[in-house]
This record gives sequence, C-alpha cells and structure tokens, in this order.
Amino acid sequence: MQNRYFDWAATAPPLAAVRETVDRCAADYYANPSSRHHQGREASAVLEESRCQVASALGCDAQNITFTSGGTESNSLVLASLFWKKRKGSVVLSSAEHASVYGFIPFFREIGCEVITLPAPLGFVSPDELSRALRKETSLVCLNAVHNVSGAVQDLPALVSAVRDYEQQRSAPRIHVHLDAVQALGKVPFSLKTLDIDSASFSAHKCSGPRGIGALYSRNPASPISSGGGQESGMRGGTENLPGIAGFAAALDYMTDHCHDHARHFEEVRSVLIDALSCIPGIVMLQNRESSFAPSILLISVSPIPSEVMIRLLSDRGFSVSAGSACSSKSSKKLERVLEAMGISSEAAAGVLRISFGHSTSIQDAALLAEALREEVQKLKGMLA
Amino acid sequence: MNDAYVSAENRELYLLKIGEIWLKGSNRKLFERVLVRNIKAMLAAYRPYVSIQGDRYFLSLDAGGRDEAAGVLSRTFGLTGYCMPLTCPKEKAAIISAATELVRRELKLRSITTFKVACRRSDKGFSLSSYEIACAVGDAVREEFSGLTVNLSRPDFTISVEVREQVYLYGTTYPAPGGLPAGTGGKGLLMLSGGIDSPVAGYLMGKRGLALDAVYFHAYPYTSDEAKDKVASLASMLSAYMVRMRLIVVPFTDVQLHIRRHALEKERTLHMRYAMVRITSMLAKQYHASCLVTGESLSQVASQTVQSIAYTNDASSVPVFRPLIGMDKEEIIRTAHEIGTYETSILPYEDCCTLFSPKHPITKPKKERLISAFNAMDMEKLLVQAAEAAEQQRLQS
Repeated sequence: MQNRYFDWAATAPPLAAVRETVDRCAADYYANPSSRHHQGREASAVLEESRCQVASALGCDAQNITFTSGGTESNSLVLASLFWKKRKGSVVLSSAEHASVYGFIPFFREIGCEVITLPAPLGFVSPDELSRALRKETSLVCLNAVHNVSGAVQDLPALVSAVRDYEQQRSAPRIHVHLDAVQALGKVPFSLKTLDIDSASFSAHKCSGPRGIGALYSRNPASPISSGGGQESGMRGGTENLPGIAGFAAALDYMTDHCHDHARHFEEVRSVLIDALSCIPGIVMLQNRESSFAPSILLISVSPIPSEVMIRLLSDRGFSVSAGSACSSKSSKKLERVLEAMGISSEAAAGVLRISFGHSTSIQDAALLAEALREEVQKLKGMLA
Repeated sequence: MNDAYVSAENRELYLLKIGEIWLKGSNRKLFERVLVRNIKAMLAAYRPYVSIQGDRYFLSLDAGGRDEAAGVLSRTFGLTGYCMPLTCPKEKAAIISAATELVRRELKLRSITTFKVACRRSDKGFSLSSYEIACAVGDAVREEFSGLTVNLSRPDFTISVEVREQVYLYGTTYPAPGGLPAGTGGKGLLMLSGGIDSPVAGYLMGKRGLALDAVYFHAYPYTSDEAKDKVASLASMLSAYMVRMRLIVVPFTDVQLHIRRHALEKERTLHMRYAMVRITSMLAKQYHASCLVTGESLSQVASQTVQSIAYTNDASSVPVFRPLIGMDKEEIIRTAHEIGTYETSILPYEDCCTLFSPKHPITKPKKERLISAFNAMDMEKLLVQAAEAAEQQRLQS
C-alpha cells in the first residue's frame, strides 16, 4: 500500500538535500565547536555559517539567532524569562494558542501576572481586540504567525502596529512582542525584516528540515534557564546539534529559493481539494473564503463521524491526515480547548480533520484523497443511517 | 546470601505462608496441590521444589531467580506472605551466628532500633528450650549491635527462629495477596474493557480461586487498535496473577451498527451490553467456563442500575459475578493502583465510540419491554457469527 502523506503541518518530510547535509555534517564535522583545535574550529565555522544562512532566510542578523531544540523550547525560553523580570505586568495572548504557549498561563498567574486571553475566531486575532486588551502594565504579547490548526495567517503588521501605537500614545514602556512563527516557514512568505517584534520561534521539521532543531530570534538576549558551557552566547548551554543546525540551514535555503514555485503549487493542490471536497454531502469546509489561510492547510469536518474514526479509515487506505494539532492529539481536551476557542461548534469539532500538504504533494494524490474521503463518508453515512 | 547459609546445591530457600487454605478440612490437599502446581508453573525456570511440613511450605529454587521469585510469590493467590530464611545446624553457636547475619542484612536495607526474638521448637528433642534460644539470640544480638534494644510489644524487627530438622531463621515477611489458589474455584470468562473496573473485578474473582479467560469486544474502526492493545496489556497484567489466561477478541462492529440502526437511541447502550453478555455466554461453553465476571458497580453508570442489570443479566445462561457491585469508585481505584492496572486503564483510548453512546441513556428500563425490543431486532445470527469469529490473542508475558 502506498503511503500518501497529508500531515505536513505536524511534520514535513525532510528533503533529500537536508538528509545529505545532516549525514555529511555528522561524518565530517563531529568535533565540538567549542574545542580549540583545528577540527573544532572547522565545526565552529560550519555552525556560524549555518547561523548566517538561517538569519538571512529569516531576515535578521546572525547574532540574534539562538539554536534550540525546536518551537516549544524557543517559546519556553522567552516565556519563562518573564520570571526574572522585575516588572511582571500583564500578558496578552490568544485563547487558541498552541499548548507550548497556552500551557504557560498557570505559570504567569503563579508569578503574579494578569493574563488576558483574546478571542480567536478560526484562529484569527483582531488588531482591534488586541488594542483593547493592552494596559500600561502589559509586558508581553504572544502572537502566532500562522495558526497550527486552522492555518489562519495573522495580519502581523497590523497586530504589531496596534502594540507600538499603544506604546506611543500612552508613553508606555516597550511591550515585548513574541511571535510563534513555527507554522509560517515553508507555508507562507515570512520575513522578520519588516516586523518590529522582540522574539520569534521557529522549528526545522515544519519546513522539511530535521526534527529536534529550531531557532529563537531575539532582539535582546532573553534570560537563560541554564547557561551551561556558555554556548549560543550563553542563551542555551550545551554542545550544539551541528548536523541538525546545518540541516535546518539547508532546508531554509531550499525553501527561500523555491518559495514562489511552492506557493503556486499549494494553490493548485488546494483548489483540487476544495473543488472536490466542498461538493461532498457530509463534509463541511471550516475555512471561509474571505479570510487568509495558509494555502497548504485545509480544515474540514466530517461530523457526525468522529475524527479518529475517519483518520483510521483513511490510514487503512494509506492516507495520513490528522485531527488538528499533532501536539494535542494525545490529549483530546487540549484540542477541544483550541477548537472551542476558534468558535467551532462542538458538533463540528468532533469530526475535525486537518489536511496539510507540501511542495512534493502531487495533484493526483490530492484527488485520490478527496475520492477516498467521498467514499468513506458515503459508506459511513449509509451504515449509520 | 552468605555462603555459610547456602545449601550445597546452591539453591535459594523461601518459606511460604498460607492463608485460607489453612481453614480447609478434608479437601485441603486439593488446594495445596493446585497452589504448588501454580508456583512450580510460574517458576519452572529455576527448578522449583516444594516441601510441606505441617503448616509450613518450603520452596527451593536454583540460585539467581530471587527477583522473579519475589514477583511471582507476591502475586500468588493462596499465599499470605513469604520470607527468605537462613538455615543452620541445630547448634547454639550456629543459631547465634545466623541470627546476627540476619540482623546485619536487615540493617543494610533499613534503619531499626528495636527487635525481638520469636522461637518455635517443633523438635522437642533439641537441648535448648524456646525461651533459652530466644535469650541466647537476644543477648548475642544486643552485644553485636550496640544500638539495638529489645522491645517485645512493638519491635521494628522480629527474628523468627524455628527448630525443625534443621534451624530456620527469618525476619521480614513480604506480603502476598491471600485468597485461594488460582483454578481451585472453577473457570469463568471476564468481560474485560479498557477501563478501571473490569481488571479489578477479574483480580478479585481470581483471588477467590476462579481461573479466568478474558473477553474483549472490538469494534474497529469505531474503536482503535490502541484500545485493543491496551486491553491486551491489562490482560497480561492479570495473567501474572492467574498463572494462565487467554484474551478472546470478539469482532463487534456489525452487532454495534445493527443496534445503532434498529434500537431507540436511549436504549442503545443497554442493548449493546445485552448482546455482549449473550455472546460471552455463548463463548462460556466453548471455553469450558461456568460463569461470567463483569466490573459492574451498582449505579455507577446508567447501564449499572438495578433495573439495567436485571435486563442485561437475563442474557446469560450462566451465573454472572459482579465483585465490585457494592464498592465505590475510590475503593476500586485503590485496588487498581495496588494491582498495577490503573495507569494502563486511564490511557486515553476509548473502548466505545461516541457514535454509539446515547446522550440521555435510559436508567430504569422495563425488562420485559427491552427483551422484546432486543428480540425484534432479529440479531441472533449476527451474535452467533460474532462468537464464531472470536479470536484468541497472544498475551505478552
């Protein structure tokens, strides 16, 4: 049975060029980049070269990039650093944030922060709602660039402007704006150049890089949890995962070079899926046509068929799709929380499927998935009638 | 073990304490035989030998199986406890030396400050009386370990000395579950779901000597293979108490769909329970079982009210035992923790899809009406097919 993968938003298959880079780096540059001998210096050079590549792809300076194990760690480095701040203030975030951000709410409350959660219909945060939530004591605003379940693409310039305008009008101190940009890379055009934000999280495996590696952009150094051997400018101690870092850089290089081709391809696959799925009775398209969604993520509901039943049936036919966030799939409560926050009815939420694809997904596979969905929905509706 | 106290054959010795078997009359031998057979089956790799001397059972094993033996004995129904005695010749000096060794070993494991000596002398021909042995051992231990004092009412540690054909000395008695040996109470089929209750029900009936096979109803794709694997894990855990247990997996999807199509929504769960009991009752004959065991606890859910149980009970042609019927959830959870099934039971793999669960299930069904509603669904053929398609699944030991 041929596997047809439609869960790119959970993990995108690594590129051949990335796998080669990782293997070569592991074989040739195994020395510790902190060592002072010749081989250590060579490894260090690869590390810094990779940092420059990553920074260039993201649109920032290399000195502002810290390599981490992925998005969750990057988010945690920023959010946990609030603990050390004298002025704890209040925190603003959307009610549909990823668990790695939302899970910090009890911590924020524990250290005395007021937490304001914004409504997030279909994952979108409104600049007006954000403006209204800001206070003089607001110290941190957390946003996501692309929502991990719905694929909602936030209006980042407007959201960041809302924060900076507020500061100016009220002569308030600078508010730290943190961006979870994990789902943006490889899916939508993204650059830090034009964004006046303070930190952002990235993960390599979401953009066909290796897993276990990510990056944190920070305008100013965050307070580290452990400095260890002082690596990564003291932000994140521990010997660097050099093969992963080099693989991440290779993935971003590829994505930068091919972003226009990919965008065109996503639109083609998307329209094949939308055309086929939207006329199947029993399937509800949850993304509206007026808003901006990442073209490689489709959110549908097959309710009353439970998501997990349809995932099994499709999996038996070789199609891999997910019920929402892979990070929440082991806890249905977390997913329910996100779907509810997105304004999706509990009936529709019970049958949610996230179909996400990538640059190597063929049009033919998309058509086959739509056909399989049509058959399974019809079969089950007949059985359950 | 100190070489001086290991037999020439390099074997390890265990003293086993029995519980309720002790109360048995003329049929005690039968219970003893099954208990010995169970222990030997579980520890076959260590060439077990069991000798019974009055109310004392002695198990000897090849050296090296201590961890496994501890696990097996702590799960053996019919035993209330076990200890690992030292043995020595019937000489005062040897007894004292063994007793001090026993204390030394205990002090390596935990801190003790008080002790007592309890002596039994089956061999009345031995020159020292029980009291004299206790005094001699007590004096020697106090002299050897200056921090230890005697406390006869609440000692931290009791040195037990038994004078038989040789002398046995032991300290800590490790707990075993008690009850009756597995298999002495006939054979039943346990309706095992992935929840907290049914494994506990199986454990409690196993403890009364009932041999068990487990029956699980699998409704793929409406329930996942992970749910089935979870049940297999639970069955493996129970199997460790039962000596031998099989998991029988019944394909239930067609029955479930038929009920969903034909039954009133509010009655679906009860009809599904009824169908499950009917199928298990059919399987009982095939698997030589004379009763069913369920994890029902009165009024815990809608299908476990008196009226609901009266209906589902009707589906069985053999007695249905419900050992949890009068227990509350806290007690059940406590036992699940004790037997080690709780953490597996709470894994998030549902054993019934929401598609088949009514929003407002009936709680006070009229038995006769439901029976005729069930019969009207004309599903006898489907039930027989499900029973015939049941498969035994191999359990991981």
